[in-house]
Amino acid sequence: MSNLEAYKRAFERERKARKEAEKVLEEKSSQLYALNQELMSTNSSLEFLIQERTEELEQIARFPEEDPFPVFRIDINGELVYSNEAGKQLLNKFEKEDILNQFKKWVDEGLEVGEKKIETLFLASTTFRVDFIHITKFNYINFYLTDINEQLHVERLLKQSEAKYKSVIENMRLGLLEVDNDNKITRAYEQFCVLTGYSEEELIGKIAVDVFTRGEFTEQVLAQQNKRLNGEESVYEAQIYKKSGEQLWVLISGAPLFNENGEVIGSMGIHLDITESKNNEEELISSRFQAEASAKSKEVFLANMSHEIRTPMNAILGMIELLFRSNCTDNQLKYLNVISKSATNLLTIINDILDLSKVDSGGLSLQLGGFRINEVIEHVLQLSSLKAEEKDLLLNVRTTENLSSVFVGDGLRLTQVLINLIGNAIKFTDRGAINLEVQLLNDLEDRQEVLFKILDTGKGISKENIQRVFEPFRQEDESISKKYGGTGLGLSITQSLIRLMGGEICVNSELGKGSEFYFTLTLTKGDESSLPQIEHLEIDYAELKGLKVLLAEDNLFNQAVVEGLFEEHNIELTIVQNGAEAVDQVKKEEYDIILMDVQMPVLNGLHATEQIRNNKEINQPPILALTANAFKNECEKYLKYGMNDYLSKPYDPDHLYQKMLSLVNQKKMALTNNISTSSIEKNTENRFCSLEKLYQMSSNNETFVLKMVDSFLEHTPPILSEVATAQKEHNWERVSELCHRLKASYNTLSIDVLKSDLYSLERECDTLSVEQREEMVDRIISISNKVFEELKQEK
Amino acid sequence: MKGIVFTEFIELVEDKFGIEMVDKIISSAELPSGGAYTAVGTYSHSEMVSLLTELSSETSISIQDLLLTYGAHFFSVLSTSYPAFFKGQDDCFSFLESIDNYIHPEVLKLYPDAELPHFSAERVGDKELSLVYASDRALSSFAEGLIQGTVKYFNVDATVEKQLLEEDGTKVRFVIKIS
Repeated sequence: MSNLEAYKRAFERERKARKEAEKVLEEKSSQLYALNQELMSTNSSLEFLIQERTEELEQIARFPEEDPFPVFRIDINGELVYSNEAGKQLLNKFEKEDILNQFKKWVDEGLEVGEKKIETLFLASTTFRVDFIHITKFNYINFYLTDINEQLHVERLLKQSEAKYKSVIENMRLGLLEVDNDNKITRAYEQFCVLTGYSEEELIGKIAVDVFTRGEFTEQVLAQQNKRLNGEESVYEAQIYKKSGEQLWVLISGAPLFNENGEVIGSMGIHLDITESKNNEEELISSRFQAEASAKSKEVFLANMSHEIRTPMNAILGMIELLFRSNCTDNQLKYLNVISKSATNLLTIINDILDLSKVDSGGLSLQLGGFRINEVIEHVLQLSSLKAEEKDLLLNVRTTENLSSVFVGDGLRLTQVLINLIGNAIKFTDRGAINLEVQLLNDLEDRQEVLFKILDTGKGISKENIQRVFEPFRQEDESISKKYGGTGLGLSITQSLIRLMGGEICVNSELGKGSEFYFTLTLTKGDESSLPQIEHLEIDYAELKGLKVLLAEDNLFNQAVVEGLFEEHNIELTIVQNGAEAVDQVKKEEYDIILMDVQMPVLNGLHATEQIRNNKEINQPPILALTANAFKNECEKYLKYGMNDYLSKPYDPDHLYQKMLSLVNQKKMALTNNISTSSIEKNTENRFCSLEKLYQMSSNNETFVLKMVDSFLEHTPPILSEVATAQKEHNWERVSELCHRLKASYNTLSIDVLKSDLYSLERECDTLSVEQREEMVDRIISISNKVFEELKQEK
Repeated sequence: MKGIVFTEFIELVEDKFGIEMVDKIISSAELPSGGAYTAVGTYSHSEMVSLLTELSSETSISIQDLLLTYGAHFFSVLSTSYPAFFKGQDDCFSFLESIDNYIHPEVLKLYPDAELPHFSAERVGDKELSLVYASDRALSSFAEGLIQGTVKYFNVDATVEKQLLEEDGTKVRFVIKIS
């Protein structure tokens, strides 16, 4: 038992001993760690020492024995320890002690271990740069001497040329200013001071932008200065203030300034005074604005004038027309004739003025189409003969053979030119004859060069005045306008028109011997097919009877004209005074057609049309714009507002009837088409196309018509399948293009049901919804297929 | 005093007199450490004196004899545990000479706090070595045991003679004669 107790105690002791042992081990291990740390730090300081020693040894090893420049080593007390060969020679040549004393002096001024310094040593005529360094621990200093005579010489030359170049710049009245990196002025050259009114003393040390600039220009200059820090140069304009407060515009050419180490230490600006040219530029800009504004206001004025004059003219001409139809006495008819002619003349003058304004605004353009040259000549003669007869003048025409019968060009403008020139000739000729010659000069494959010549036996033009006859608003002299009247615009417009057609008008004349005006045009040959569809104004007046027409017109005279015209044909007419009343009226009653004036008070014709078109409850009658505006661009705009066609006032009554009937019939056909496609399918008599125009064109030449139909049947289906593809791909631009291509042949075949669809898809596709577009394309394809069938049956 | 001196002593007592004896002397000596010794620890020299005193009174063997026996035993422990010190040593005298100038410096490297006695050796002719022991602990009998262990280890026929140089036993000369 006691034995067991003894073991227990022994065990207890062993355990205690073990724990103590563990504690001891822990202590030992932490001691070990601390020792290790100590060891490491000792190691690294040893490494540092080794490195230091290595460097020193390397420096010693690198001691440049062969160096052509002198190298010396002195100890801390100024004693020479070592010198290379070049150094020894130098010491022999000059006073050794002086040199060493100088070295000692520099060292005594303070040189840390490892520190490097640079000094300059002058020995007789030679200048040395002295680099010296305190070599660590060894307590000696190495001196490296460099002969910088050559370098100094180059620097001097550089400075001289710099000074020269600066003085050149100064002489060129360019102001030079130098600033440091903080934009502080370090140097202001004389010319700059002259430019700004400051003296250099006033400027040195000041911040340049504080002195010279304000607002945006301060920011601009600072932004430009920032570029210099990157070594960039640039040129810019800025406004600066003189000392007097006066403002200057300067062109600044800025460049960075560098020190010998290539670091940017500031910048230099060359300032050129551009105030004068800047002011000129500003004046130019402002005068250009003024000119543009005045051109614009002129255009607006002319458009208004055109309206203001045409409206009463419309009334006058309309009334004359009505009076002619009433029972007049012979005397009254004579008076009427005079009134009519005067009014027509007035209209010509107005048209001249409008044409001129178009010339000015560049708005004059040609309407190309086919025309018969003989018809043009005939028309010109018709219109001129009366005047010629009045003055007992002969009017002769001579044309060469082989002239193409049809040309493609602007027949109307050609007519206008010829009438102008013949009219002029008549005006200035009192006795004799006027001759019009049309000669073929050159017959090319597809073109002909044609000379037009107008000769008169009139008073002729003096040499002094011959160059001025084409100037606008100018007549030969003041007396001319008194004697002959006229605006003096005719020849100027004629010249512009001929130029537009690619020709040049010339004149030969001698005072008292008559004049000769001539011009040459190169005209493209055309054939029957290039002629426009003949406007057949054979109106079935019976169709007019009973038409319900709404007229929106604010001018009482114009109202009276329409009233008078319509009475004759038993047309039911309702008149309202403005667009707003028109909208109200169509809500109350159904009309076959609306005649809408464009410029009206309260609500103009365009907005009235828009409101009507947007109101689904109104049965949508066709709307014909009656406008005094003769500008074609303007008129095209009306269609966008939902008008169906337009007619310029003053108009020929038959033109009005024709347009009205065509619109009313189109509407009827479209209606039948919309109401029931099936009914159309059955109704073989209600055809979609007509060959009438083709027959008319070819003077009933059946072979020609058949050829055209074949061509149509051959070329149209591929285009339609392209339309279908483009629709699928939603390529509406392509659809528009294709519709444009279809338009001409559909027009010739009078496929009028599709006229508005083709128009809309071509011109206003972007205003339509996709559904609308697709509906239209579907209609075009389905009706076209029916047209193909019709035409095949016909054959 | 290094712990190994205590642990080896306790083991020897257990071996020779049994665990009850160990238990008895530790219990009656009332030691600060409680008799729990580890070789890597360091303990007061007075504990060894207490343990020797108790064992002597229990066994009626004189302290000097006990130390003598223990010294011889301790040598055999050292020679087994630290063979490095014996490497290349084939001569008894040179080994004893190496205590002061080789072994003890090496011991101090491992145990900087160890309190070691001095053994200054002096050759007196080929067959005789004078070894002067000096220590405040005055454990010359323990040293004598160690020397006897050494002689035995190198297997030489030699006598060890002991002369007190100081009366308190802090300095003793041993003369080792090879016959």
